[in-house]
Amino acid sequence: MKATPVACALFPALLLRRRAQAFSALVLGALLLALSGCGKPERRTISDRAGETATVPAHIERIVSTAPSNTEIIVDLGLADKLVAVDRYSRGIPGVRHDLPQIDFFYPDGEALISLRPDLIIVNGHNRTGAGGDPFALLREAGIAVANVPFSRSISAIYEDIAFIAELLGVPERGAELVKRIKEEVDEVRATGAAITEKRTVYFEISPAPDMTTFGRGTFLHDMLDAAGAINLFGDQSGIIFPGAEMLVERNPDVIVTNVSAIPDPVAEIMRRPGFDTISAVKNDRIYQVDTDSSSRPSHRIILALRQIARAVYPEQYAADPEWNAAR
Amino acid sequence: MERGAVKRRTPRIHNGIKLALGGVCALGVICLASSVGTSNISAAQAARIIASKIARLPLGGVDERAAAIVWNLRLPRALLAFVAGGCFAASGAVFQSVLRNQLASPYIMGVSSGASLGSALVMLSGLSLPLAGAFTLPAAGFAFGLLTVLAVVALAEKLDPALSNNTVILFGMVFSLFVNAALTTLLALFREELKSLLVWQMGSFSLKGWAHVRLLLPFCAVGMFGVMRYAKEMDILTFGEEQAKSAGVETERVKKLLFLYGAVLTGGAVALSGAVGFVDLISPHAARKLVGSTHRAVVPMSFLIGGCLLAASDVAARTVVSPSELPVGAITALVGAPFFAAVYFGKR
Repeated sequence: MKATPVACALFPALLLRRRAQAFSALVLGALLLALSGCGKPERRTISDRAGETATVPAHIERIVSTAPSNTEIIVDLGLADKLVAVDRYSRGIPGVRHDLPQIDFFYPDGEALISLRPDLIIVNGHNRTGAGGDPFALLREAGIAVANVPFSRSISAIYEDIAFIAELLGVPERGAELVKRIKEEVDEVRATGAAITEKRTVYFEISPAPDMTTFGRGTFLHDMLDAAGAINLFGDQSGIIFPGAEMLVERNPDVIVTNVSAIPDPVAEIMRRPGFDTISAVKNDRIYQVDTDSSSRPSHRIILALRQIARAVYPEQYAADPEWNAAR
Repeated sequence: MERGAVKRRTPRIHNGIKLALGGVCALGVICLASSVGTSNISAAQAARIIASKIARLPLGGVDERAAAIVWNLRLPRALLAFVAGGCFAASGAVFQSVLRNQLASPYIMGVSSGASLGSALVMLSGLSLPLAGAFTLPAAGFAFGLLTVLAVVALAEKLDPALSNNTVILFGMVFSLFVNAALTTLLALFREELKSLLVWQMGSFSLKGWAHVRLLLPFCAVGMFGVMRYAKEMDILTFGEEQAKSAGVETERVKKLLFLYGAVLTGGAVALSGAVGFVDLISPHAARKLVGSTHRAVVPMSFLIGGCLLAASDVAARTVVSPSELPVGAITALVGAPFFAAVYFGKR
């Protein structure tokens, strides 16, 4: 075992004649070795959820997850004990050990990550925001497998995420089971939603005033509204948008749903806004708060928020079902 | 002799007319701003809504939501943008002439950095002042903005008792860089908690109602009154400190007072609208082009121009990428930089 790393380190050095170059190559080789271990057994090449090629170990024992949506999937596949570090939002997820190291993936600490010796880092597209390129490039070079599972934009894509992660971690049958279970529940809501003839328009707020953020098509939340049989007030737009107050008053939603929880009383805050007293949803007292986490993380746990949304928009459809949580 | 007398009188009348015309334009811009928006409400309808609201007449036949849009959303917003823009511009004129520097603005004295830091501290502590309530944030912004300017002036005076312009400018810049560094550190440490600070810093009039307008007016009145009282001294200061002193102006005291009133104007505007840039820089230059260099005319003209600029920018901010809204600070900076170049170099 000991001879291999030395040979590995010397090999690049032998190719170079000049002493200085040879020396630096030696240092570099040694460094790379220390980081990666020379020649890990059994690797396979996969295409991750962002369509990038990644080389991953066949057996994965130590996982770092950088986004709560992926962490939730890992936990519910029964693999929480394989997590060695998570991002700050993943820490509060039931099932995640409280003493796990927490890493700031906005400014990831490369040394800390490497010293955790992960077999795999499951990253998320949002880790790239502001990083200018792939922030994990150095880790890949250091021999750590990195697989990208970006935020999904539809419910069916979430099923694929679950299948992908389950397959990656060697538990495909558990993934299939989870998908099947969740699909049944989604389809149940979808069936009720599809049967509704007089559909209501919904403004779904994900960030309060003054930015008042919502979304159009191409988001999993839009897909959720659609599944519940609601009409997204901004279904004519796509992606994340910031409609002004005027646009909201003008479009006059039947129901307002908010998943804001950062301010004390988001429902009252909406009612207090100037001019909003003319909006149908405000007049008829139809503003509802839904669970923040399950409506902001595209994982199978969206089912909670999906039920809350469906119940908020069409309470009469679900009145008979006591099992369903009241959204308010 | 007669010709001289006529010559001396002419510019004054001229400026009076120009200011009156400016006022009419300003009214026009405010009216326009209340009738332009993402929803389809005609200018005539908007005018009718405003008129009947002012006269407290019933709104016969006008859609209730259209009325809410014009009266509760657009008009207060347009007025706030106008008054805030005016405050920025008037204090820009003051700082430019007192510091005798074409690029001077209240921001280099640290008003905006101080206000940002104050707001960040309020956001972090979750503090709510007993009287201010929902307006704790602007109150803290104003207080910190003002304190920063006072600190800059006090410390600059320690370094240089004569308060020479270069000392004030350089010290102001150093101090505001320091305050900015403190802010950056806070932002890095409490990213999540301070997310909304970014929105605040970019400046926005979104959902600002009548309460904001009422709150800004006293700052505007006090600041403008104070500044206009020293209009003559500002005229003399532009000739240089030596001349001003020999003309009997207590330069240090007048300068300090002008800094204070200027900071009240900008501080109030920054606190209620966010750190909107460029209006304070451009408007005085444009005003001087129109009315010459007498401060009695330059300051109010700057106010009118700044107000129109910001009100118009806000219209752009809420209509350009409909149905989304842009931060107004982005618009003023985008339009402001080329506009500044045109105004400044066009003078030559």
